[in-house]
Amino acid sequence: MKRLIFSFIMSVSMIVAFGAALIPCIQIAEGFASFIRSPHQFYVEVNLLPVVPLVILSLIEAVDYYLGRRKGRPSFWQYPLIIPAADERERAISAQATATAFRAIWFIAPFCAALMVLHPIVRQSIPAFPVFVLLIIPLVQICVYYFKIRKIYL
Amino acid sequence: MHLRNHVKELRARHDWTQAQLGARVGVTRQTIASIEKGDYVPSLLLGLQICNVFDLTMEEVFILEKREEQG
Repeated sequence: MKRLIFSFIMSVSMIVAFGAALIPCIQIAEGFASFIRSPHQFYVEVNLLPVVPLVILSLIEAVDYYLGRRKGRPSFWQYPLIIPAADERERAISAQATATAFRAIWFIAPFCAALMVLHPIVRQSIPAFPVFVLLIIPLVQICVYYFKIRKIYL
Repeated sequence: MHLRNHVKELRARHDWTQAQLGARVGVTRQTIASIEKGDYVPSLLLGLQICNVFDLTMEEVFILEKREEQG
C-alpha cells in the first residue's frame, strides 16, 4: 500500500510539474511568435523557476529507479499497472479499474473541450491554459485508476 | 444467490495463516481475506484448489445460499 501511495503521489506530482515546466516553453514560443510577426526585434523573457519541481521529481525518480532496479522493482509509473496482478482477484480489480479510468474519458474529455471555450478570455492572463486543460485528462484518469486499484490492498 | 464458505474455520483448524493458505493455492493474503469475508467469489479453479488443500469436497467448503430478492 505504501508503494501504491508513493506511486500515486509521484504520478500526480509529475503531471503537475510537467504542466508547470511547459510555462517557460510557452514563453519562448511566444517570443518566437512575436519575432516572426516583427523580425526587427527579438526579446524573450523566460522564468525558469517552474522547471525546478520537474527537475527535483526527476532526481527522486532517478534515485528510486536505481534502487528499485537492484531489487527488481519497476519504476513508479509502471508499478500499479504491473505489480497488482499477482492473482485472479487482483487481475479482476485491475481490469475494473482500467475500465472505469477509460469510462472517465467520456466525462472529462467533453468537460475539457468545454473549458477550452474560455481560452480567448484567459489567453492574456494564463497563456498555458490549453496545456493545463489537456493535463486534466491524465490527472483524472490517474486519480480514478488509483482510487479503484487501492481495493487490492483493502 | 450468495456463496458462503468455511475457509476461515478450516484454516484455523489447520492452524494456517492467511498468507500460508494463500501461498499454498497461489494467491495473496488479501485475496484469502476477501474470500473469507465474502467480498470476493473465487473462480472455479481457485475454489477447487482451496478444497484440494483442505482435502475436502466443494460442498464441504462452499455453500450456495439463495437470498430473497430485495425490492
